[in-house]
Amino acid sequence: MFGNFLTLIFRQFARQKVYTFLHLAGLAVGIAGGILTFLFIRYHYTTDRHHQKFDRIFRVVTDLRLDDGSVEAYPEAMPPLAPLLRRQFPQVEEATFFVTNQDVTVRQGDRVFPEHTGVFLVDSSYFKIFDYQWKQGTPASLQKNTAILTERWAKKYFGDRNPMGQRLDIDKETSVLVTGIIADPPPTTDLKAGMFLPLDVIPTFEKDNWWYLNSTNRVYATLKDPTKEAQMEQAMPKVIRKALGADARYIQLHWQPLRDVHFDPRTPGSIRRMLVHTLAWVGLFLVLTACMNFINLTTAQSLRRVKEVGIRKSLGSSRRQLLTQFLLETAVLVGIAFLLALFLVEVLLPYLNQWTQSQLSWQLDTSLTFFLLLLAGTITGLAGAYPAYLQASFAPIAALKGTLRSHRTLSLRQVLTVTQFVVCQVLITGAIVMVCQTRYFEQADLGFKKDNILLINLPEKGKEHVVRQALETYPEIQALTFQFRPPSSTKINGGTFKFADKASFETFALREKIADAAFIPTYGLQLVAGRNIIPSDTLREIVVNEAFLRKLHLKDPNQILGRKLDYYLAHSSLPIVGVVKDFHHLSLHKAIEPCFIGSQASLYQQVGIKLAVDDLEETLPRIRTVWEKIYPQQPFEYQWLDQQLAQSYQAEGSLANLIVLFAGVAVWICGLGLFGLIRFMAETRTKEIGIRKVLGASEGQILYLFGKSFVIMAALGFVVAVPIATVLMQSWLEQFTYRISLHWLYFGGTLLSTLALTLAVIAYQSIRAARTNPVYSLKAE
Amino acid sequence: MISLQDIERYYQNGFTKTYILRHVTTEIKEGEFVSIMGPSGAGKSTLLNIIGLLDQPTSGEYTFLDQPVQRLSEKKRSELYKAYIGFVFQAYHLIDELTVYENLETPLLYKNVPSSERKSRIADILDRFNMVAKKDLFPNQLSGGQQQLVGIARALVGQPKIILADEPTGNLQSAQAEEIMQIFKQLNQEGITIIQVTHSEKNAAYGNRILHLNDGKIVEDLRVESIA
Repeated sequence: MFGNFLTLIFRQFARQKVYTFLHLAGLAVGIAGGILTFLFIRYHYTTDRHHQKFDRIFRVVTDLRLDDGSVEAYPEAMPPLAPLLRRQFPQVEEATFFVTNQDVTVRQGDRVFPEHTGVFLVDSSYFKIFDYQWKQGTPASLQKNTAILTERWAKKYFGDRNPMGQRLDIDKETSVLVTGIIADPPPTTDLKAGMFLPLDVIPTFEKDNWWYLNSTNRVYATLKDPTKEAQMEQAMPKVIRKALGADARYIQLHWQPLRDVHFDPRTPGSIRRMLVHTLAWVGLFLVLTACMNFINLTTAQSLRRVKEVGIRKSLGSSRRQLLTQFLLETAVLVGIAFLLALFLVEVLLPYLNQWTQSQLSWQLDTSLTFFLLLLAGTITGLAGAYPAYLQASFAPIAALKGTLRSHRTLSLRQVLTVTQFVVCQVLITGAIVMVCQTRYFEQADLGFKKDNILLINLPEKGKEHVVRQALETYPEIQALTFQFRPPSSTKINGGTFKFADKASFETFALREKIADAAFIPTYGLQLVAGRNIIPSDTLREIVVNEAFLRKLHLKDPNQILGRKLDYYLAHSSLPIVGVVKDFHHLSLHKAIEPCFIGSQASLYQQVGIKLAVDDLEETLPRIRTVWEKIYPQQPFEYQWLDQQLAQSYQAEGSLANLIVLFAGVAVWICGLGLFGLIRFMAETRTKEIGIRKVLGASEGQILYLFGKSFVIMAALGFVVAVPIATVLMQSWLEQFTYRISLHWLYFGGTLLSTLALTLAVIAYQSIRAARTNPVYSLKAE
Repeated sequence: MISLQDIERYYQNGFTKTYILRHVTTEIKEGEFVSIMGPSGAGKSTLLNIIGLLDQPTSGEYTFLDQPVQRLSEKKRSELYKAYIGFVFQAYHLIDELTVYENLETPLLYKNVPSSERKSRIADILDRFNMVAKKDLFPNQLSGGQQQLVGIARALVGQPKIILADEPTGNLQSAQAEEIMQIFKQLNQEGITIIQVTHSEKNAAYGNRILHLNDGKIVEDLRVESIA
């Protein structure tokens, strides 16, 4: 019986090429969307899960509580905490302090590698918590002046040579011996290490300093019993009080399980759990839309199958057998669609990874296998069950007489079509809003000029004057400034301060932008009062921003001029000599805080060069030549400021791209569904159209006949989609301090594009139907 | 074989009942060739469908092969149907996507006939109807008469005791119609009970009994001498 069904099914497909294509194209793309979503979720939920002790590993993080009540959350904790945890708490199995992403310059022979990410400073306790696959050496191989490399990094430095026993120079000061090689860790980790060095590689490392807090520091621990987490959390205030005394009120330590680390905003590269869940829902809806499409097309077509059902029933088929047949038919279609979807995923994944800047992998494991089977089963069930049930239950007599008209399914079809429109329009609105917000990020006025600015890292200190003299001779270089960081950066330092004429510290923190006097003119910052700082190599005077005034409730910027404040960077009090208009010193995710600009040559890390607009490409090699003369055998590392700034919005950009993709998929599925429904309508109504044409209907009137109900459904879908999209997008936008507001135009765009799609499909089909000569369509009957 | 006691079939439409069949009582014995005649809307097809277990009476007693049909479960009825009844339709009702061979095979599949027996039975029936050469053709490649031959062959392949035919020649030209009727005649002589619905006096003449229906009632029950 199976064989008979299968033959029939394939003949059916061959006969109904267009509908089979519609079925497959919709399902395959929907399934591919579902699979991609799953890969995305798997990627984030398996982060660092490969460590055997995953459930027992915890990170200790620091909250900085300022006097004004604000709390700043950091991922780091202090070095002495780890040995203390080991010593004093029997619950703790192991604790480790390590430094992630230490900035070092690595030299191998005469090749220079500036490494900003991937160099981890650890001690042997690190490897007792985290699992690595050791190719050569053991955790004990990490000794003073040695290095452990991943295979990829070993290849980077040594090519195909055996890396073991080779030497690398770190920062000119230390020479290390490679004593261990580990397999590359999977991409699903937040600890993206390429090289491990011992902690004492940093000469300034203070292992007993409780204030040694740096955003790259980490403290992790394993508990013998993970349920003791709360106990540990409660023990922390005492630990801090003992170590910091009165200052303990500024610091609060928290324990967080490794499973939460990837979803905690303090982790670099983290993603909010809510977002992953939202995307899961989106994926689910994509699959559901594909199923709805299937149901719509199948039930619409089921009128065609009525006769077959009648015959089969009169030949003795039971309802179960018919159900089996129709479900089998769906299963075969779903099977083929799956193969297509897998092919699509295989082909598209590299592009998708590039487009959304992720490292989704398409590796078949139990979870993926299970998911694929579940998905196939669910889709077959969802898409197949109702039509199969419907078709199998046609009464045989009515079916054979052809008197069957299923009004019930028509209304179901309408409900499904409207639902599709809702999903589609929510996604389109989401895509529009996200793209607009991302563009806003890229194009917003930051309060300074960011175009044509070249940032070059200074490999060593003390040669700033030489650089300035050498570069200033070029006419295409309009200005240059030595700085700690550019005006806007992802990180910013700061501290508390007090006015010289007051006894106590202010309750709010002050942010610092350390740069020379050329900073303000180079970036076009606008002075609203006073003057720029005078050139100096040490911190002597400062310019503050307007946010600083606001914090002090000062209206007139001139009121602040001349006031002096004490700050940890300077030995003497610093007079405020000017006020600049607010500029965004952090990414647009964050609010503008009180900030000052002051010079301190010992802190400069880079030079910012403003170039004339014309010959960016030609100037670069010239600067490089000059550079290499001044800093021989040193890396020439540069970046364009606007590109660096754009990187801050990578996460949003990737997400927007993903949603655009999903919206595209939804539109595709929806479009196919419409195409199928309208085509079917045109086919079943050829006679009606013929009669209407004979009676004098114009093409436009026939178009109206077809289009009306679909346009109404699209509009209905829009009405439902607007509030859903508003709530979703509002909550997404709320995480940004600087954001676009939901404009009616976004919704207008959605409605317009949906209507355009609907009308295009309708127009194509109905013009085809309307152009048919009525003589032919009427003759057949 | 078939016993109908006061069979009624009506549709409840609000407060009014629309009767299709009223007080139909009759008996049909094995080996009979019965023609049901009457004007359009007299209830002929409904009666045939009730006899053929495709439809059910609203009230009355129907006994088929000594089994009280209404009191049987759906499953039991379906077994009865599969074992003893073959249907032939005016519009042939072949499955368009299946070849002649596969169309003939379908009822056997539903009866769970084993593969080897299916092959031999279909081979026999193809042989008998001289259609061996056409077994791989699809219905739309056949003439109407040939399609109806397949339809009859399909009804026969299940080796039924009774064949129910709803205007089997209604869509055919007279020469083809005659051929079909001859086949029915022959089948009847071989012992198969045949009940047909027909408008044609000529076709009715092939049988040996005519039931005249009007407004859902049997108005005449005629024994006739069948033409040979």
